[in-house]
Amino acid sequence: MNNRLRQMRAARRWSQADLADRLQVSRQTVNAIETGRHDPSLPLAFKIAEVFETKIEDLFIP
Amino acid sequence: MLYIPGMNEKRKGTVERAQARQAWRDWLPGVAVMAALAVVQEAGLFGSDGSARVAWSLANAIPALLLGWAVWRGLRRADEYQRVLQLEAMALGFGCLLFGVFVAGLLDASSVGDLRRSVQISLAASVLVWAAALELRGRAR
Repeated sequence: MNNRLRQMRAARRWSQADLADRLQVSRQTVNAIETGRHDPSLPLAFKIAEVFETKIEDLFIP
Repeated sequence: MLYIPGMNEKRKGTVERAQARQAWRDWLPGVAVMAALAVVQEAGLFGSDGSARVAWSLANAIPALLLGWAVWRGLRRADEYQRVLQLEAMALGFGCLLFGVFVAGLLDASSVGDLRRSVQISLAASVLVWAAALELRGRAR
């Protein structure tokens, strides 16, 4: 699934490790979500939206 | 922290560093006991090639249990993506082990080679396949 994770992360000048720390997941997982290799579970998707203070629909593009 | 696009990306997060530390603590006992048993059995120490052969052979179950416990702990500690990678890599390794043990059985039935050696080779190969699959699939892009 396409997503705007990388753009939104770059806008906040966060590294993948910074975002991973905020989400309490590995940097590997953040990289996999950004590159579309892994679609996050619903709880993780909600957590990502909460961290970026936005809605899930604004982050992930079906 | 200063953000430099691309430069910070290789830095491991807090979660990964904690996982790595815990993994060392979980795996070390099993690997140490396995290494010690291998030395004892290969060198024939403490009756391992004679009167206590069966007991020393059964003792190999101890590191197997310890390593199984380490794998279980690793899976529990992993996040969702890491868990998928681990389980897929384990499935590949298990398939390789099944194939290896099957071939070892065929060779033994034909009186070719040593069954124990063939099984050890199968086990080692399956662990290598497991590790390689995990490494290759888990590489960041």
